[in-house]
Amino acid sequence: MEDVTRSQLDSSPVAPLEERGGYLVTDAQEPDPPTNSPASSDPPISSASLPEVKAWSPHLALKAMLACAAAFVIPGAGHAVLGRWIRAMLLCAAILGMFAAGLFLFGGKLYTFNPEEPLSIFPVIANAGTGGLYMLCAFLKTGFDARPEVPTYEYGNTFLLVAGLLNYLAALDAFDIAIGRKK
Amino acid sequence: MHLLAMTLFALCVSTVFAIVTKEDPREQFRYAVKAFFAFLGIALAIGWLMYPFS
Repeated sequence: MEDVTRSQLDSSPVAPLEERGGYLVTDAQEPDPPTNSPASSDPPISSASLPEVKAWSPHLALKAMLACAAAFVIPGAGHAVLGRWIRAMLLCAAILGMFAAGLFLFGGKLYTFNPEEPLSIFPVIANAGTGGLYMLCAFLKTGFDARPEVPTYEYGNTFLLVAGLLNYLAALDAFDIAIGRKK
Repeated sequence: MHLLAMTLFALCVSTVFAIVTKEDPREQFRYAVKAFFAFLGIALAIGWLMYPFS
């Protein structure tokens, strides 16, 4: 029977077909055993390449949520909850240092959402990454005044934005450690 | 002040990147040092590249 799936441009010689196990095969290959698995066409994955993740349990989920929540309240606290004290202190020093430098040393400002400028949501999301620090400034009503006359105003803004974004990374790292994906 | 800002930024960001991306403390330290000097070096290189156009 002519193979209708072959392209007309394919001029390579066709190997003779023979029936084996109910399947028409050539000498070059053995028929794959029939499977009912929907993922039978997926490439095999080496189990050694996958990170070890602990089986989900209420305790594990609670620990992960607690670590993330702590990381958003105080930078580095997520790692402290998980017992990684040195990492916690370094993260706290780095993120808190950037926040303080941006606000007090370089004269930057924290953003609030301006409905007339919908894109202002993005710097708000970045600033809000510091979590507890942003809330504290909102409560104290400090840090939201723009001071463009300060020469390092834009540096301060950048420091504040990046501090929040780095805290998102730190919270995700704490989550990975909590679920066992990372040491 | 600009150099201070750049150095402080590089220090903080490279510290956080090293902690988040690496697991072994020795690897973290090496990555932090490499990232720190990369930040400073590339910033200085770009500054000099822009100098003829200033």
